[in-house]
Amino acid sequence: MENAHLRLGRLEYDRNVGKRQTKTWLHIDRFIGDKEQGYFLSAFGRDAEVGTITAAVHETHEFDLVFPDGSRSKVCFGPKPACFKGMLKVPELARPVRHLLVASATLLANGTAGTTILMNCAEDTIDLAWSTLVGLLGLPADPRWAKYILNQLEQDQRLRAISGIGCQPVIVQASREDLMECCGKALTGGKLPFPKKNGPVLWPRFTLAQALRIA
Amino acid sequence: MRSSGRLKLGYYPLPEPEGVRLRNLLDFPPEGASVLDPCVGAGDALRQITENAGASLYGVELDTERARCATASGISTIHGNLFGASSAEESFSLLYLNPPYDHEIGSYDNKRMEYLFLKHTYPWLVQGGILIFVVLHAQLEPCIPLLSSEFGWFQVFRLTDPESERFDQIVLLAARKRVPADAQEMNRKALVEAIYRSPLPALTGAEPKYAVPATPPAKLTYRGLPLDEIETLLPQSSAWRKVAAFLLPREDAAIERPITPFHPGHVGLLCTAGMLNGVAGNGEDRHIARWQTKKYVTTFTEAEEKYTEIHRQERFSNEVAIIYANGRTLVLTDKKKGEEGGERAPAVGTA
Repeated sequence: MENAHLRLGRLEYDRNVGKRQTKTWLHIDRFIGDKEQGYFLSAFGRDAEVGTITAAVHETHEFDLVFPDGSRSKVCFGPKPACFKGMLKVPELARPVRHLLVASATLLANGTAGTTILMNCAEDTIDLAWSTLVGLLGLPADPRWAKYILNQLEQDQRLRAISGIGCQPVIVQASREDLMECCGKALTGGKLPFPKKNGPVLWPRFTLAQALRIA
Repeated sequence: MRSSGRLKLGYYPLPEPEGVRLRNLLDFPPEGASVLDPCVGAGDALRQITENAGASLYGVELDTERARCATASGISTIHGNLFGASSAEESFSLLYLNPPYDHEIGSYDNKRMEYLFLKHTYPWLVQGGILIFVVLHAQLEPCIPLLSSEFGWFQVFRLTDPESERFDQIVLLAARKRVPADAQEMNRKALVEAIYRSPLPALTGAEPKYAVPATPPAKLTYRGLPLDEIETLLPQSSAWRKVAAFLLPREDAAIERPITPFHPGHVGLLCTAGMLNGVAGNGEDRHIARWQTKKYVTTFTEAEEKYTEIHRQERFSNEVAIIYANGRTLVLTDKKKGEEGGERAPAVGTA
């Protein structure tokens, strides 16, 4: 990929201890959040910066988020977030780059309590969005129902776009029961096709790389 | 910066006629010189102002395609952010600086990019080294203290190309020199006078020339992160696998038809493992089933004499959600009827 700097955001953290002020920042390739509540973050940088930001996330500190277009907002990941770390070996660098993923407690319980966060839900990612929703909620459904059900959710104002970097996230305010009811009504009205043959329902497969590259 | 400018990464290349005029003001040494353009773009301006000079050319460029063009044209180009690039002090003879016309984006005290680019790169110029600074007239003001303390022999000209006039572009030429503390005020006055002369003389190419000092080939290194490569590598990070379960679709593996019929026990095991999801039944009972494992937490308290013990008991159970072809829905759990689940039929005509 080219010109990554046009797509990347920045997570900045100012720590004031006594008279000392330390500024640390990381590049962000993906972020999901709603106003000041951050749900998910994928960031990378060097050891020290990733270590500092990880500690600050666990201490529920507040960060400055800079979007690729230059706009800024404050963000916090709330209590009990989870941090996952990975390493990226870049051939031209002597030391590997650290990769940090932060998931808020809300995202860790994604799909429960009637709220589901989808990483991508746009016109061209509707299959991915529906597959994710069905998988997370455990819905008995068919891949062909994606467009109708997601449109229905949008009409019912149960689907709301939230802010993102590197993705187009939405929050779905519907439980499994709500969605089953919606599917049931549509089936009764003959608006959705029912599989003709008995057997497994074949869902489109998305590898991790595909799902991330879609954005 | 306006959005259109931002899309171009603040890239406003020097018009070609201005480059030719600037070339006429420079005398390059036969021993060779290192010349740097920290915003090299495709390298057109740098090549123009060093035409037939036999100089070693260096550049830094953020845009991938432009960096590729600059490299292909023989300029030793770093693809990345200037602030990640570094070089030994006093290693370049000529600094051609046409920075992005923008502010930095910080939480407070945001400075102009013109000033920041100058501040980052001027120490790389040798004493006597030449600075060619192409900026908007109004944006020279914040650079005056730095320029007057580190440079001398100022000349400021208006650029006359229509594109340059549109943006009120000017060019400042100066040579790096040690300015004693007692001479700084006089130097500053000379600079201010050159900048605010009215009318500002236009660059014609016939002005007094600057002798570019000789320098050996320089070494420009990059300490920033190669963002393009990292972005490509990111999906390979092992951390993604840990969050995939609650952010990305779960892969449903469809199993092949078994060679021999299943024993009821096998069917039960496969169902509860979520491996017999799909369409089943006949006629009115045709349905799609989806099994799921659920964790239940039961909390109970035991009151002791001086304290209360709170117990949490976790157990896993299976449930199946069913949707029939006629729209009926059903969730079967191991909970008592009425507590959770139960068959539902949609209201007719509400779909």
